[in-house]
Amino acid sequence: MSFHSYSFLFLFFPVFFFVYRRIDVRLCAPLLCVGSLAFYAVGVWKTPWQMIPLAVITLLCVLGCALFQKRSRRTKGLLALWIVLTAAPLACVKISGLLPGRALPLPLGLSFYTFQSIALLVYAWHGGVITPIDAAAGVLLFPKLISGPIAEPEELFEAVETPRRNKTRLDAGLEEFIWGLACKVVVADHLAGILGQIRVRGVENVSVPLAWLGVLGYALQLYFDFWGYSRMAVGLGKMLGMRLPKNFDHPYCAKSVAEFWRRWHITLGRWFRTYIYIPLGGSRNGLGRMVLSTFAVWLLTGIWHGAGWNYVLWGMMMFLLIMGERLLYGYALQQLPVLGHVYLPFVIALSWVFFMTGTPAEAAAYFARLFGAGKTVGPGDALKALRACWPYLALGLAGSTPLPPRLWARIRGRGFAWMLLFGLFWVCMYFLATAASDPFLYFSF
Amino acid sequence: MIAILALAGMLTAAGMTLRWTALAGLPQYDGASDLAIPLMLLKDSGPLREARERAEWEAQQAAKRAAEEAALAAAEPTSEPTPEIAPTPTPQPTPEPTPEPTPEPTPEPTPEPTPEPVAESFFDNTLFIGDSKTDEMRNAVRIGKAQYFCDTNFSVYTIFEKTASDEQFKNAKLDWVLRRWKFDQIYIILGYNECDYPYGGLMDQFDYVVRRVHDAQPDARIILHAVMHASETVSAWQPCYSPESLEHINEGIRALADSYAYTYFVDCNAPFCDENGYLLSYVSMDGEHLLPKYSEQWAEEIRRRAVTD
Repeated sequence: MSFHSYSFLFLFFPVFFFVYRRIDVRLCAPLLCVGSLAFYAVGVWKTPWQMIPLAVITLLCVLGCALFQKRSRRTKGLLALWIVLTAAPLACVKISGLLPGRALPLPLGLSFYTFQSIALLVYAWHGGVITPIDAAAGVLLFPKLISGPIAEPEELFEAVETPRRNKTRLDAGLEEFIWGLACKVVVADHLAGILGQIRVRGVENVSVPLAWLGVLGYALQLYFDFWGYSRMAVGLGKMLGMRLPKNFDHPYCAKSVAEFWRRWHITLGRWFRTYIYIPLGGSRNGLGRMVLSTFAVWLLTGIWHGAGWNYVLWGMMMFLLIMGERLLYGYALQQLPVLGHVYLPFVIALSWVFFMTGTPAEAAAYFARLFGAGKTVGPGDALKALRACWPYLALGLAGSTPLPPRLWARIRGRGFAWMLLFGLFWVCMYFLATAASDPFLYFSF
Repeated sequence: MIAILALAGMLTAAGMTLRWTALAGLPQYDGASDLAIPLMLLKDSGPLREARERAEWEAQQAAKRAAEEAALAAAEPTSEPTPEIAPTPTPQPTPEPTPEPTPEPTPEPTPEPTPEPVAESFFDNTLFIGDSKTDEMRNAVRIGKAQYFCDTNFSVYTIFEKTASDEQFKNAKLDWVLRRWKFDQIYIILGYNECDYPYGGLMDQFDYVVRRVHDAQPDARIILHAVMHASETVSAWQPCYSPESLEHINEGIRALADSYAYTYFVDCNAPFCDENGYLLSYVSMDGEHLLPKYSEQWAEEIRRRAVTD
C-alpha cells in the first residue's frame, strides 16, 4: 500500500487517524506498531515472506536495545555482533546482486528499516533509554518505514512518546502531504514517460537530443519522486503530531558535489557520516585516513543504492568527484559560484545514467549516445517526447529552485491558499485515476 | 480534511451508480475503484461513446440483414413446382472385398523449407492496425508502401474511437482511413493492452472489430496477428502477460480467424521467444517492445508468413 493509493488515502489513514487522535497518549506507541504492521502487511500481501525480515530485524532491535539498557552489557563486541546480525540480510541481498544470476529479491524497505535499527542500537549502546515498545515503534513507524527519512533516535522518541496532536500540526501536515503528493503524481510520474520511451527504443537507438532529454527528465523525475515521498512522510508525521526530519533542501541549487550530498537524501548522508565515516576516522586523522573513510562511504553508498555493478561504478564516480573537489578544484567552485551552478547539475545528471540503465554495458552505450556515437532510429523522437512532457519539465525545473516555497510562504494560511491545496489534491486524484502511476523509484533501493 | 473526505464520498457514490448503470458490461472499469470512475470519465468518455457506437452499428447491421432477407423473400416466385418422381435405383452387385495391402514403413517427415519473405511491394496496399508494438515496428522499418494505423494504448475497445497519424493521414479515425483507401489486406495486431479483460467479452469485441473492418473493406483479406509475448520479468510482475495467458487469447483469435472466409491467422512469436514462451531478454530492453533490430526481423517474419492466396 503506497501513500498515493486510494486505499491508503481514503481508507487506512482516515481510520487510523480517527483512532489515533482519540486514544490516550500512552497508547500511541503500541497503536503505531500495530498500524504500521498492518500497513506493511497490506503492501506485501502478494509476497508475505517479506514480513519475516521485518519481524526479525525489529525483534533484534528490541532485544538489543533492551540488552544495552544495562551498562555491563555495553561492550564493543556485543554491539558489533548485534549490528552484524541486523545488517546481514541487507548485506546478503546487496552482495547477491553483484553475482551474475544470483540476485536475491529485495524486501520492501529493508535498506531503510535496517539503518534505522542500527541507529537505535547505537543510541542504546551509548546509554540512551529506550523501552521495547518505543524501539519497535521507532523501527516500524509507517510514515517512514519503507523509504525513510532515517530519523535520529532523539527525534524519534520525542515524536513517538509525546505526539503533539493539535490542529496546527494537522494543518501543516496536510499541506506538506498535498505538496508531496503533487511532486510525485503531477511531476515525477509524467516525466517517467521519457525514460519509458528510451527503454522501448533501447539505449543504443535513441537520438542524441532524446538521450540528453532523458538525462534531464530522469534527474527531475528521481528528485520529485523521492522528494515527493519524503514530503508525504513528513506530512503524515506532522498530522500524527510528530516531527520527522526533512530529506531534501533544493539539492540542484548546490555548487559542488559535496554540498549536493548535504542537501540530497540528507538523513542517509547523516547516517553514513555518523556510523561509517566518523568511526573510520573521518577527516581528523590525516589525508590517507580521510581518503579511505570517504572511499568506504561511497562504496557502501553505491552498494546500498542498488544490487548491481552499475551502482558501484556510480559510487566510485561520486568518490572521485568529491576527492577532486577536496584536493583539486573545490576552491575554484567556491570562488566562482556561477561555475558551480553549471558544473553541479551537469555532473549529477550524468551520474544518474548509472541509475537509468541496468548494467555497465548499457550505461556505456548510453554515454556513447549522449556524445553522438552509434545509429539513431526514429529521428524526431526527442520532439515527440518534448511535446508530451514540456509542461512537467518546466514545473520540475521551476520547482527545483527555492522560488516556489518563497511564493507560497506569502499566501500560506489564507482562505484561497486552502482552496488551492484542495484543488491540487483533486488534480492529483484525477491523475492517479487516469494514468497507471509509477511506483516510487526509491522503493527499489 | 473533512471537505476532502466529503467530496470523496460523493464521487464514490457517483462511481458506484455509474458502474451499475451506464458502464455495466464495460471491462475498462472493472479494476477501477468507484471513486476513480467519475475522474476517469472526466478525462476520457471514449469507452462509453465506443460502446454506444457499437450498439448503433450492430443495430444498423441487423436492420440491413432484415431488409435483405425481406427483399429475398419478396423476390421468390408464388407457384409451387411439380415434384419430380425419383427413379428406382438399379441394384448393384456386391463387390469382392479387396485384400489389405502390406503396410509400408512411414517415411521420415521432410522438414518444411522456411519460406522466403515475399517482396515488399506485396504490402503496398496493406493497412496495419496495431498498438505501440506495431508503432515501434513502423519506426524501425516500413514494409513497402503499407500504411499504419497504430499508437500507444490502442486496443480493440478503443480502435474506432481514437485517432492516429501516418505519412498519408493526420489525426484520422479508423473509419475515415477505411473509407479513404481500398486495401488488399488488413493486419490487426491488437490484444496485448487488453489481455487482462474478461476473455468472453474480449473475443466478442475482437469479432466486432473484424466484422466492422470487413464491412468497410469487403474485398480485403483480414489477417489477425497473434499477440506477441512478454519477457519473464514482465510476466512475473503481471500474470496476464504470462505465455499461458497470452496463448489462451491467441487460441481465441485463431478460432475467430477460422470462422470467416476472409480472415486468416498469423503468429510470429517463435523466433523471439525461448522454449518456455517468454520473450528473449536480448530482443527487448523493456521486456515488451522489440528493439529496432528485432522489429526489422519481425517485419521480415510477417513477409515470410504473408497470406498470398
